[in-house]
Amino acid sequence: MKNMRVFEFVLLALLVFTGCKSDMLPADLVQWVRNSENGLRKTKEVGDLKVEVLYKPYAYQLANNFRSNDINADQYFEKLKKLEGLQYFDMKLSVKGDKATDITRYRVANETELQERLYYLSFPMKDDITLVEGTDTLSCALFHFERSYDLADHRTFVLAFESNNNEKVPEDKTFIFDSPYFGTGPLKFRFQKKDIERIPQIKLLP
Amino acid sequence: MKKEILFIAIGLVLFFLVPSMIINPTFNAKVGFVNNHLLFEGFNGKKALEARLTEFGETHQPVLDSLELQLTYLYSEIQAGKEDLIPAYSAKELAYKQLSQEFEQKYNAQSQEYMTSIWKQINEYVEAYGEEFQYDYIFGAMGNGNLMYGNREKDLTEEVLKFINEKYEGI
Repeated sequence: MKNMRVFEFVLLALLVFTGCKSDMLPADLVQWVRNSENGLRKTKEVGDLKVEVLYKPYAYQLANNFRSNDINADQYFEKLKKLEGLQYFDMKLSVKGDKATDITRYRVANETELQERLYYLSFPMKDDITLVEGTDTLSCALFHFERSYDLADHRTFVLAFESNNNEKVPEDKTFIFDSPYFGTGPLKFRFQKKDIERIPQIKLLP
Repeated sequence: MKKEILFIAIGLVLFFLVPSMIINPTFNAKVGFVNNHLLFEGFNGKKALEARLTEFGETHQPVLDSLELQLTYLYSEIQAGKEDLIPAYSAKELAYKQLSQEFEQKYNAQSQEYMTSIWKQINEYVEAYGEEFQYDYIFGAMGNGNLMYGNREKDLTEEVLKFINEKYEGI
């Protein structure tokens, strides 16, 4: 009987423990968000195109900004205010299976086409990206094509959409990339409410 | 004597079993098939792009209809004796033909582009299905003789369709 009570207590404690969001060191939180098993990083490969979309919670962004595990709570909340009002994503585009070619040069025959491609990636592509949240379809409020001069096989786009609730009342979000340029048709990436609710709290210094 | 019978039996089994394993690649493999037509028709991506194609047609068709109406009117006037309208009719007719051809070319190109992108997605998602459920082969029945018969038990169409639609919706 006594053993039974102990077992029940342990079970209850486990339930409470797993039900609560744990505090996580900033570096661990960054890894947690980037781990595709946690549902915030999604990848699709269609035809020659590989698209990766990462939902970036505020805590993730701030952990990246501070680049330290010792973040002061006051400084954190001050910076948090600047992020609020928007929800942030990174989108990476690359050519599947070809590490030598990035999308700026994929099927580009000459300099004119290269310029056209760069122009498309820098500006009009913004209109080919939307976020569906509940009944709202949101356009990009912030769109930035990162011009990196490295040997990476992907190109990164930093994106943001308006946010009414600042992560306080999460709901399903569907990120849609529908570009006529790459002949893939609409590509959808759903970020589920249950995954957003599971995002751990960041550990801060008092 | 018993030993000899046992050896013969094992020999016979190996004699028939081993070649069939070598010759038939699907021996012991996990195999299924899908009805390509049903997969294509039921794929949400196809429905979305089809709606766009319809929209494309609906925005261009009224222009052609209007020209056609004008042509009919001019033709009836010419028939009624107004022969001075013949040059106007000819010009309109040429414009109609050119526009109609242009529209058809655009429509066909768009349609072809959509078909390609739909199959690109279907292929990727079926591949993902095969990997996730560890299939060695998933055949596609097109109704053109590539796959003449498939046991109903091996028909994966319904579950593959559900899977690829979920993938399309980004889940």
